[in-house]
Amino acid sequence: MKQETLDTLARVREMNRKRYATIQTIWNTDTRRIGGIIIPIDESTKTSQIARINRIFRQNANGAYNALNLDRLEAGLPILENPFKKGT
Amino acid sequence: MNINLKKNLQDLIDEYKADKIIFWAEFKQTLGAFNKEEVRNRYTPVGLSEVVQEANGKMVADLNATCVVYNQSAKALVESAKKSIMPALLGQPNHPADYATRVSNALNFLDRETAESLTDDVAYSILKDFTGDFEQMKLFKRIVESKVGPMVVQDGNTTFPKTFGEYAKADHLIQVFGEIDSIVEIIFTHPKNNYGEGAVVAGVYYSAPDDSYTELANWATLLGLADIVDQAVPGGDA
Repeated sequence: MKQETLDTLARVREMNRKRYATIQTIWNTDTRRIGGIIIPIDESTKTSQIARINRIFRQNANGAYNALNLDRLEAGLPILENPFKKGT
Repeated sequence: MNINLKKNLQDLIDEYKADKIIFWAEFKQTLGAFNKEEVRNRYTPVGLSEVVQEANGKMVADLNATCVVYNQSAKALVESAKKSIMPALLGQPNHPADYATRVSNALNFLDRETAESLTDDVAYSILKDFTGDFEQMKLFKRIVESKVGPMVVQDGNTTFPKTFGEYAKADHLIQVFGEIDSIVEIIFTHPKNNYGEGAVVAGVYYSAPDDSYTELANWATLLGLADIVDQAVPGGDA
């Protein structure tokens, strides 16, 4: 159980790092190519893309914490609070 | 048994530091985006200040959530180390059937000794069957101390090394873990200062949270204590 806890938390940290990297890429990308045309990406598109990345990350983190907490409850251990859960 | 608590905690701290630098970059870019003409033109000066502060608040909350994951990871590492070491420290619970009788006999023998006659060798000959049982030795220690006075126990050393050496080492490690627990409770989540890197938006400087000196001192103390644990465990890095 202790190894599962360590592995899950390491996975959440890794997902968080990837999220930051993806958001950086979004900020640093100013154009996109559709066929032969290059279109500029405006700020609102970037903001909505970042919001989507954050939403996907939160879902994944939630899934990881839920699975871990089910096993922790079965093992009689206290659950770990998901700090990325909305409203916390 | 190889615990490697110091290395694992050091790796976690290094990972956190790397994450913090990435966070600062994102913080600057997120807030810096409000300096772009197309964004600024959408708001009045007051409105711009409000949305920037809202974005700032979200970023700080995000960093705090990340810090909680690091805190949980540090606690899990310490718990894991504790669970690996403690059973060996506290001794086996499988006692022989006549254990209570042996304890009673040992108490009788101890009772007959005086402060002068009760040396380390004598105590060892009476208590050698129990040296691996931490709880039992804790009781015997009180009885021996009532005769010979306090046995100085410092950094795992005692004036009765043959008899209480193992006990003193275990007792010292338990105290070290107590200190580790108190530090790890708030590690990474200790209140931060506002001296991190930042961004200027509409003439106002917004700085990202950074770790306080208390936090940095806690890391150093924690690593020092983890080193004591690593060195005290047989087969450790020592």
